[in-house]
Formats: sequence, C-alpha cells, structure tokens
Amino acid sequence: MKRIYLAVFPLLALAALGLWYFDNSNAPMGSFFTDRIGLIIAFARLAGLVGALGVMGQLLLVSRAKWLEPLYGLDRLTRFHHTAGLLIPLALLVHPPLVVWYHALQTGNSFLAQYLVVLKWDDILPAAAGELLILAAVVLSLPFTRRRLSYEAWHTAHLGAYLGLAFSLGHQFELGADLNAETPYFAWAWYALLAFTAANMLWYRLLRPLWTYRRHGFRVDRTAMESRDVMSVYVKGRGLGNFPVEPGQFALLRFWAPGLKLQAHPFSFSKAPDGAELRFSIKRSGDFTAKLHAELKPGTPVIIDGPHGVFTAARLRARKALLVAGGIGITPLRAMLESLAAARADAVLVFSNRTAGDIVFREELAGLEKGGTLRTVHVLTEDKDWTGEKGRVDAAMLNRLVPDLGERDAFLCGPPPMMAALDAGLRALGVPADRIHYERFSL
Amino acid sequence: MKLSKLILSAAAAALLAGAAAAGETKAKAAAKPEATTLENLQTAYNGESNAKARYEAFAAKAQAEGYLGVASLFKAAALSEGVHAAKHAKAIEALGAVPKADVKAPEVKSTKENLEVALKGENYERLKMYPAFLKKAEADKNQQAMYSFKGALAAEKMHAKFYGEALKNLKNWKTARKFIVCQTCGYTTNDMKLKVCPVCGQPRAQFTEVE
Repeated sequence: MKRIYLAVFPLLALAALGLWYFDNSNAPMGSFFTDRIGLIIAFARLAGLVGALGVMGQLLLVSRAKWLEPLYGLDRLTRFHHTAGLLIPLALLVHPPLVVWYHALQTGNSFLAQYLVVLKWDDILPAAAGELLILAAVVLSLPFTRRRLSYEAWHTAHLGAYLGLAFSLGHQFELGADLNAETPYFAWAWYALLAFTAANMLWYRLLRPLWTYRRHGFRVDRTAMESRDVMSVYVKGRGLGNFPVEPGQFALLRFWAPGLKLQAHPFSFSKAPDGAELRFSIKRSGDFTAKLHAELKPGTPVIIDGPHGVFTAARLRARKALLVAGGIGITPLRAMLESLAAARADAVLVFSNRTAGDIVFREELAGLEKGGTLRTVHVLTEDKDWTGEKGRVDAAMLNRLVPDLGERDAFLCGPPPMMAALDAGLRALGVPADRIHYERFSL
Repeated sequence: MKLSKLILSAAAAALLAGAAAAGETKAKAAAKPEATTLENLQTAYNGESNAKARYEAFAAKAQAEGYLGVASLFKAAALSEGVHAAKHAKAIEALGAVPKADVKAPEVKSTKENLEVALKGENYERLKMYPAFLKKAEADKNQQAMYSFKGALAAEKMHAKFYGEALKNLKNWKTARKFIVCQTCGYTTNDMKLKVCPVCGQPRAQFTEVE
C-alpha cells in the first residue's frame, strides 16, 4: 500500500508534464514548439508548473506521511527537502519574466510596460506576494542566513511558505493556461496533485496529531532535572500501551500553554515505552527550550506528532552494537539501550560530554550495565579532574576502546560535525556504510 | 473521307491552340512572382478592414430584422477583425511600410444572405488565405507577421463556426446573445466562463463583452 501512495505523486506529476507538452503542441495557434515566441510561452508555463510541483513535492517531503517517512527517515527526507529547496526557486523566478516577455511580443509593448500591465491582472499581486513568501523561506534557510536566525524566526518564515502556496492558488486557477485548456485532463491531474498534497498535509501535520491527542489525552505529569541543562519531561496519557513507540524514535511536541503552543519541536523519547508514561529529555539550548525549562508545568496538555524516525534497534544487523553519543544525543540511544539490554545484545556505549556535570542518565546507564551485556565508556573533553577517558571521540579512540568494532553495528547521535567525522573515520576503518546508522535532528 | 479529315484537322488545331494557351498561362504565372510577406500583410490588412466595415453593416441589418443574436455575432466579429487589422498594421509598420486599405461600401442583403457571404469569406481566409500567408511568413522568419496571421486564423475559425450555427437555425438567433472578444488576438467566443484566452493567453479582463 505504501508503494502505491509513493507512486501517486510522481505519476500525477508526469501526467501533468505530459499534458503540458500535449496542450502546448496542440494550441489553437499551432504548436508552440515551432518558433521562438511559442517556445517562450511554453517554457514560461513549464517553469510555473515545475515551480508549483516543486513546492507541492517539498510539502510532501516534510508532511511526515507514514507511507513515506518510514522508508527513508525524516532526517534524510528533510535533507533532500533542503537541497531541492535551492533549485525550485529558480523555476519560480524564471516564470514571471518569461510570461511578460511573451505577452510583450504579442502586444508590441515594451517589456517594462507589459510588466506593469501584467501586474494589474487579477490574482497576479497575491501570486507575486506568495512567490516572495516562498523565496523568503528559502533565503532564510540558506546556511549563512539560517545561522543568524533563531529557530523561532526561521520556523515562522517557513510557515509563510504555506501562505505563499495558498496565495498562488487563485493565479493557478484563473490564469493557468493548461488548467483552462480545452481538454480537462491536465486540470484533473493538477487538482488531484493539489488534493493529494493538501490531504497529506492536513492529515499528517494537523488532524493525526489531534486525533492521537483525543485518543490518549497526553499531559505533562512531572519534570525532573537530569543535569544543569537537561530536563526530563514525563508525559502520561490513556492507553499508552496502544501508542506504538520504538526506542530511538522521536516526536514533535506542542505543549499547549501560553507562549509555547505556537511551535512544535522534535524531541527523542529518552526511555523505552513501558505503557505507563513517556519521557523526553530536553536540553536548554535556545529561546524555546529556555522558556520550556522555566515555565512548563505539570498538567500541561501535549500534542504529540509522532513517533517518527527509523533510527531504531531494528536496524541492527549484527548481534553486537556500538553506540556513540555526544551530549544530548544520548536521548534516543538511552531508549535503545533498554531494548538492547532486554534482547541481551552485546552493546558498548561511548558517551561524550564536556564535563562530568553534563552527563545525564549516569545512574540509569550504570543500572543497565548490571545486566551484563552493556558497557558504558564516558569520555570528557573539558574536565581536568576526570580520571577516565578524555579527549574528542574519534575513530582511533573507538578502535582502541572497542577492538571488535568491525563486528558491530554503529549507532551515532550527537552534534553534526562529530557524526560526520565519526562516519568518515569508521568507514576508513572498514566498517561498511550500511552498518553505520545515524539520524540528524536539526529539522 | 473529307469529313474525317476535317474532324482530324479541327482536333489537331484545337490541341495546338490548347497547348499554346496553356503555355501562355504558364508563362504568365512564371512571370508573376510570389507575393512577399509585406504584400500578404497589406492584403490581410485590406481584407480585415473591409470585413470590419461589412460586419458592422450586417449587424445593423440583423438588428433591424430582429435577429438580435446574429447582430451581436456580427458586432463581435467586426471588433475581432478590427483587432486583426490593427495587428497586421503593426507588422506592416515594423517592415517600414504604411498600412493601406481600400474600404468599399458593403453590399447588404438579407441577414441569411449576409451570413452566407460572411461564412464564405471566413472559410476562404481560414482555409486558403491565412495558411498560405503563414507559410510564407514562416519561410521569411517574420515572427510578428506569423503571430498576427496565427491569431487571425484561430479567430476566423470561431467566426466561421458561429456563422454556420446561425445559418443552420436562424430562428434561434432572434434572441440576444453575448460574445466576448480578446483585445489582443481577436479570439471570439460565447463561453462566458472562459478565464484565459486559449489563443494568446491573455486573461479574461482583456476581453470585451459584446451583446
């Protein structure tokens, strides 16, 4: 069934592009592909279609749809979304000048005069505003601007992209030549694409979390500090035994309290599901998490969008595992360790922190070690008094600490530079790529 | 015997005369060079200008005879031909020439006869004149002339279609009808739900409504 859903968008998009070719080859004035002026309008229309298709595809990639996300993992889909997001604006940028150029040639107006005429057409100004909103979301996501923005500002700009697509709909319906062609087939394909995208967004991003909340009635039960910067939030609800979480997964949490409810943020389940409560461990690392630490109260309703992610022990191919955590990256691995311990799998956790005060779940990890199949190695980078392992965790250190590295599946979770370095280092040591698992959490 | 000789001589003479005549026609044709795109544009400009005047007169006649729907159609077609004439004029000016039209007083008959004349004219334009002009403009790579002819060709097809419908059931065309005409290419239709000109892509706001 998942594969059927997976084929819907590409097939409809191909149909739309095929019908674009058909419509423009059979225009009332004859094929647009036979002369320069015709080519201008044909490609102007194609640019508009590709831009709109791209925006729809981008929304589907981050819709958290269950027919898509488990196949690739939300982090990989999000990375693809980032790359595609750099290309799609090109089509959106090319569309307006090509259309104006064609009409200028048709009417004999200058390009500028025709531009001003086109701006006065119905639905053009909202579409132009929509395009600016979409482009703003892209520009503010580029690495050099994203670094200077808070998550909250970036998130708001991204919400503007939805508004941008909504603003462009009138333009598509009223001025879309292919949508208004003599034959209705293109319109059928296009409406199906819009409906498919809207249905997925509406269900997976809005209704499903609300439906899950209605079913389970999640509420904050209590909070507990794990270290000076990390707070665990315990969530209880009805029938949690029927809320299927795999250790290692994460969810987007929306705490329904003033000042918090406007944003949903991704957090890992930091404990394996036990049917009684869920736990998320959250580091104070920005405006939102600081506010959460300061203001979150027991009894606060929580809308949980998830669970998501394919970074789970199900990826384990060998019977042995190496888990490497950097700081708050321990959360999914902490949950995973429980299931590994239950399965009596041989697991080594290498847990890197700056100082001993930053180590979270220290006692819990020690408790898990008592089962006899787990071993934890704490590594600190900035603690002079530490008598254990010191320094930056790299492949050489892992090779020394875990000599049977080649027999293990590696699960990595931590700051992106650390994961990139370890990924490369482990590969250099001969660990096959399909046995190195990681998930990047910066959505 | 004499009679048969006479018949043979007559046949030979006729053959010789026929061959000579054919030779003369071919020589004449060879002497006449193919019309240039500028000449074609002038011909089309003259034709459209006359068609505009003719349809305006036909519209007045249809109005007088109580064929309000036909009157609207002729008014819309006149508007459309005016658009074509203006586009052809621009293409002529782009070639450095001055548009010239010899607009003659139209011969107005009954509405039925006027429709027949109009249909004949449109069929000539859409089936013979414009396809030939278009071919020449394409060969000359004159894009402006090409698009002027293409727009006119697409509109004339619609005019012919409506004239044919009116002739089939003239009684039904006594009631008023609405048409819209694209001010960029002259495309004419009675589809009031139309959002974009299927010929040139202009939005509905660029259409003029005729009733």
